[in-house]
Amino acid sequence: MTYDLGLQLAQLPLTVILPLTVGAAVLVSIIGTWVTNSLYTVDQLQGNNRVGAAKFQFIAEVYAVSLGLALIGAFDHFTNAQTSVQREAATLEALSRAADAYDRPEQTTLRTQMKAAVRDYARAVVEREWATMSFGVPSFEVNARLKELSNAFVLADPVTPRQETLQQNTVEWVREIGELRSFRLTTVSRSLIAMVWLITLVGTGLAVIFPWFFGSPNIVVQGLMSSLLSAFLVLHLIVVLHLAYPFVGETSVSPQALIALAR
Amino acid sequence: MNVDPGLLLAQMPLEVMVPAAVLLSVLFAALGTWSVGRLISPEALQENVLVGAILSDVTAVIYSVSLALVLIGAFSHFTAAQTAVQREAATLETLDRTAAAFDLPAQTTDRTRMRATIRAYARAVVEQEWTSGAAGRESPHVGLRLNDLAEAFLLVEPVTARQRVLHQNVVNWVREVGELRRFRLTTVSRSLSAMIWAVSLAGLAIAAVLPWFMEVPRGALVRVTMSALLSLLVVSHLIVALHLAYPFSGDTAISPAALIGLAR
Repeated sequence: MTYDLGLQLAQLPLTVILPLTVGAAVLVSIIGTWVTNSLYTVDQLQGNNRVGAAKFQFIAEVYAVSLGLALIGAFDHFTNAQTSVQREAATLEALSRAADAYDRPEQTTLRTQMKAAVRDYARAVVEREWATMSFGVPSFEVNARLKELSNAFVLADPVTPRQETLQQNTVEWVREIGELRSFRLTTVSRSLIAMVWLITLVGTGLAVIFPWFFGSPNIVVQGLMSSLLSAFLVLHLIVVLHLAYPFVGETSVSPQALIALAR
Repeated sequence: MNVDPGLLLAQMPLEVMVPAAVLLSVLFAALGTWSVGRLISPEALQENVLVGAILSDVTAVIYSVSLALVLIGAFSHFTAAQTAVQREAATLETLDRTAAAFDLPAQTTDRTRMRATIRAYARAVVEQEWTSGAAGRESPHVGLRLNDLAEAFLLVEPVTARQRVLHQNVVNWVREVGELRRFRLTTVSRSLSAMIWAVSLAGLAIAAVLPWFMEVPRGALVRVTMSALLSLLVVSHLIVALHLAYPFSGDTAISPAALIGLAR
């Protein structure tokens, strides 16, 4: 079972994590601005503005690169997960249609077995595995249903030339189902690596802290602008978090395509 | 039934959406500038200019990253949908040509049936599913036509060696048509996540709001104009992203032309 801090955070409802993180960022920003303005005079801080501006610009551009990496990497991960679920559903649908080709009277039981195997596998994935797979935990029942599906199609004896040619494809489709299932189950272990998170968080921290060292006579407005920037940065991190764990939380990939097959 | 606000907006005609965006940007900039001007003195606003400029710069750099993600993601989504439609049409066309290989006298009915099912499926997609599919709603009628098509090709008995070899590919092509149809129907559910839109809109709001806190010598009108122009620039990018993210909706929707040819 995978224990992943990001996974735990991604499970939090948006109504909790959004106010919590954005609120924390705003608070840190306000407190930091107030503390530095208490320790230094406005004139002392204002002396930093020009040099600080150039350095902050540099930091922002480097941070934009790491944030871009995190965003695009997470987005890619999410869309791959969506696509693999679609493909799994489409392949199951194809197998279900292929069962109709075994239409000899003596193949009635076989045909029924094939269709039932597809339905049972889809149902087991939706009812048993969808919730646990986000932790990388496979379902034993789905293992058993996949084995039944494989046996139904791979061990079928083709009688006609049509069935022979069809079976060459259905065997490959069954293999593909197994592969797509593996892909689904390992999604959490293939999420953004910790180092990407580290540089993104370091960059966010720097971007929140740097404005504290600028001076402006109007500390309220300065605090407000800094808070807006901090809140905006934290929002990006939440987006990355949710995209990086596509089967977790309120924005997770839906099993809708498989539900239709499970009926 | 879940209502997707993005889908509703994408369906709005551009001749309504663009003027509305211009009007709202100007109105928002004017209201905001006026409100801040009432609460904070021009001297206080002028003191913020340098720090405000620094923070605006940084916000812009960060926002350009998320805006790039939105645009690239939406563009990728659009081109994938275009490609899927082309592939669906091309695969149907290939199946149509394949029917000619089942040319034994005893296979005339099979051959006619194959071609008829392709036409019926293409016609059903264009007439029944193209509009509803943009909202992710599948047509049961099209589902039945696809089943007919699958039966016509999967249940035909290959007799010659050539037909047996061809049948191996035909089976995969039929599967591909089903997969591409599924892809087409799920386009709206695979559109950009709501969170990505939320960040884009937050960025737009911040980009529009920050200039309100910086005074310029010529005063309110210049601030309003700058803020409005900035908002308009960002909004125009978001409108492009919106239309790309919903490739089967609105004035820029993908055309079913490739399938219309097959439907005849």
